[in-house]
Amino acid sequence: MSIKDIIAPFSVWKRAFEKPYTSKRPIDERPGAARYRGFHINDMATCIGCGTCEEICQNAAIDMVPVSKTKHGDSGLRPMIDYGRCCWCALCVDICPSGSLGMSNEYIWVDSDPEVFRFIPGQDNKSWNDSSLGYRRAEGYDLLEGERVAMPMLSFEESQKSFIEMVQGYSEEQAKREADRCVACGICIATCPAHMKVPDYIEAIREGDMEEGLRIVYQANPLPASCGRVCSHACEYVCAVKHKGEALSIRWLKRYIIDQIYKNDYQKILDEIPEENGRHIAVIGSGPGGLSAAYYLRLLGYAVTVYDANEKAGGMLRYGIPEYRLPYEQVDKDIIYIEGLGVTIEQDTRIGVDLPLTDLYKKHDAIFFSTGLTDPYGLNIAGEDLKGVMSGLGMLDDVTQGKTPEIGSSVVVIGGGNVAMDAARTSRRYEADVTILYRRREADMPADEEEVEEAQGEGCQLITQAIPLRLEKGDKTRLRLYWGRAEMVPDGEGRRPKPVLVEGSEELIECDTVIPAIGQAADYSFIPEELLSSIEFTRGYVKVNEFYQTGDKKIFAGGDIANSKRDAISAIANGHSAAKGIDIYLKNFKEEVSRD
Amino acid sequence: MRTQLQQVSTRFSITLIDELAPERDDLLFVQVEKDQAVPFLTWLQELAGYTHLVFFTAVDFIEEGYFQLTYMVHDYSTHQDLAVLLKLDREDPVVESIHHLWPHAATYQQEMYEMYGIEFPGSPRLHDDFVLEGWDDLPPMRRDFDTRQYSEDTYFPRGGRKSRDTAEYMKEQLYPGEAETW
Amino acid sequence: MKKDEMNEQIAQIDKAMRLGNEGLSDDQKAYFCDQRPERIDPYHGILERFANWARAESLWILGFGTGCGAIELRPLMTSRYDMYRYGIQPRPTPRQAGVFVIGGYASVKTMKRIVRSYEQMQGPKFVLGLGSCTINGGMYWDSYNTINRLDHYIPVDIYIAGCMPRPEALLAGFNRLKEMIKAGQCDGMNSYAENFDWYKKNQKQIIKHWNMPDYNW
Repeated sequence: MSIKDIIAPFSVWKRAFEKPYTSKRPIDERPGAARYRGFHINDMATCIGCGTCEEICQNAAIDMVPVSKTKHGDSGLRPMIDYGRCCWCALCVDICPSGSLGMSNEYIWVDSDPEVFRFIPGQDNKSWNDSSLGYRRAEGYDLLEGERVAMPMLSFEESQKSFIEMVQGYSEEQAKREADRCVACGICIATCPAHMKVPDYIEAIREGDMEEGLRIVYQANPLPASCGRVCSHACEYVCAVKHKGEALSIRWLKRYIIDQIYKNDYQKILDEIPEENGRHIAVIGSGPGGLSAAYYLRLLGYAVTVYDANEKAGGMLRYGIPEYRLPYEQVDKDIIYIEGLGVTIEQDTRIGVDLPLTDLYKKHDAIFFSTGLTDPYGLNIAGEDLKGVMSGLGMLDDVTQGKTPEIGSSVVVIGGGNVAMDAARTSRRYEADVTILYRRREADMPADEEEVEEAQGEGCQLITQAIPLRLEKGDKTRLRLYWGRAEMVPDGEGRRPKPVLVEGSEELIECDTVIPAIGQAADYSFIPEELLSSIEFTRGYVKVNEFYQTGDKKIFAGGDIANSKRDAISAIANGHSAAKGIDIYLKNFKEEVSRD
Repeated sequence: MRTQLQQVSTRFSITLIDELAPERDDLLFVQVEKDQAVPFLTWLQELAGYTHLVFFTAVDFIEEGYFQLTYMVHDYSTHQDLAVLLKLDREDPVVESIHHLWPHAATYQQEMYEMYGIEFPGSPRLHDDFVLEGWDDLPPMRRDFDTRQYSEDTYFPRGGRKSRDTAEYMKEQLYPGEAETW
Repeated sequence: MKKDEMNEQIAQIDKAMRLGNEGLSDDQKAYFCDQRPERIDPYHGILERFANWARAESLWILGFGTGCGAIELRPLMTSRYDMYRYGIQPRPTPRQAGVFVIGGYASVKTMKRIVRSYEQMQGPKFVLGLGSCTINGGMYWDSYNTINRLDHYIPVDIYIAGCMPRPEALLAGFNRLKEMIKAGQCDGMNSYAENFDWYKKNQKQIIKHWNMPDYNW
């Protein structure tokens, strides 16, 4: 052993006076990796407050707290995350249907106060709010299924040949698979005019408990067989899953429940009906509004008589919607159950003609009328009264009554609503060539998207931004329709652009029939003068208060004449509200009437 | 092994359960009656070559009303695993101890007493504290013990948290006066 | 917890619960101190500033990995992070240590040891809560055997959010702790002495098998 060996270990002591490398060249900041799961960020504008993140969080770290104003399809709640619970597993980011939630790559948060570790990402001012790095849901990695279970449908070649129902309905396996996509956020409940408990009945489908499903559906909607087919499904437009892909087919799931239950079993499943309490309510019109009011009034114990001008009940459900969308036996299924509860329906009784309204007014404790919009608007162009011009509603009505409409071999339908689509597609079924003229753009069409799509699929030609100018008698065909191109002119903030005729443009279509379907107005001629004076109207609508009571305390109204949405489900909701309104009114504000 | 077990199946009243591990041929599941468990395990250890107790645990099948005990034993010469399953009535969770066969079973038994309340008469240190010190509630691994409730009652969760249900909140904000709410 | 709220809770404590060392057998009692901890006032002026500087530059951690977060302390000792450059180093016994790092969740059984270790540590002593679990239970929020909030049992000077926080976050925590010590803001030891009854009440509420002395310097 040499002396060097002994000294060598002590030589490292000279290092003791050196500054450590890590102090000399410290790495002060180490940003997280590009996809590091750091602190949360949330795009407040994209977030819809569905609460799916709260639901999936295994640590109960997320609370939904009110932040912004509640809007259509946005609950106004936003997730508040407790960093005393979070474990940064990113399940909330992975499931977020709107994709608003993400994670930045920041990871340092030190504080001496334990109460500060709860925060609302995106709302509270944090240094990482604008971070573009960090974890986001990876493309192609989905916890939610964005695609709808395809509905078995007749092909367009098949469907346009007959009035057989086009949508064939889900099988059990398909329905359960579709129900599994639901995140049960409940935003649809607020959007549905009738506020049906959608997540609850979808849950029932998942559980396979159709009877429970039927009970839930009937709580807010006594016409589910019809609604399950033709509802305008406002719910599907706000569905949280729609932010990810396709919305749940809520309407068809409802239909699935109804399809599983035989109509004679309804009485066993649904609630007991109370004895009649001795008060009578008259309902005018047996459309969705009238039937809904009748059902709920009966449920509240009132005796109800429905007066209807047509041969069969159902109103627009029967006479305004063609059979390939809503088969008549489905309308019957709903109505038979309501009739079975003891609701009397007087058919072929036109109030004001067969029976004066004043009679009803005297005999009943209250009157609900929901007579709908029955008078089609005219086109207000020259030649409108020529032979070959028929209203869309009139034509659909004829078809329901079994008459073959005289439409010839070529038809032009004017309008972009559901009635226009129905008229067009019905004409296709009578083997006519169909052209649809609409004055705005396709995106502006008030008809349901799938209606427009199916109409085109069945061979109807759609011409948008077209304004009809005048009609003349044709030589080869019955009519010659001149129309001009329209251009879209902005019409102020918040309004949709207005179509304005391009000067000098004029085109011609030769056709046998022109079907205007540009909306309808209400017909109040049945209301006698003395009652009319007390009822208020605004722009053709009956003005009602929150109980759906008109200016006359005994008269209630609902349906298309009292709301601006003008669809079946709104009418059903009105009927329900009016029934409760009548109940409140009769129980609290009104003396027992003496009946003579 | 299978044949060997089948030969003694009447003697120890055991049943082979094939559907539990169909994809493995070195693992077998056997159901045994309570009074035959220890004779069968003794036979396994002394005569059949299963000299090693891999683990010994319990599962609470509360819906069916029993604890399922699993004795997993291993044969080093054939590298065969054997799981012996025993159904034990939840109302009367007492079973014979096996610490005389495998001394380390006493620790498993101590843990099972603490977590499930299963008694193994004669097992050493059985009633001593194991993981929980001074526990005075239901044994926590029993499924009728509500751990979340217990935690909330005992460990002071931090306040300042309040969540709103989306559907309820929207109802409050958008349509407090409509039919559904009356 | 507000001061008056604390006082109210203390008022509810049974007098008999105070420092009786009742978990101990009589012959054991003689071995342990039953004197309450006392408030120690800081020095004044430059002397205190010097003392605080010295304390801040020599953070000796108690080498007691109480939960899964202790794993994040190991990288700090490596040359990559080199915590020694800040004067931070682990010590093997409580009596040598000044900083207690609670590494995440603390089960009741561990809590008992934490309390005992904390009380044995010499003042001034600081506690660093590492990870979500120390703030509000973290992923063990519904466990029957894991506490939710550490500050109910021992005073905590600083929290680091994360599950687990990375070593860098831990270093940031230590650096903040240093600043706070230098500013004279870390007074956990005195707050423990002042609210001793409240802390003891909470500790005894969860540690049901109380077989340790009530106080032990």
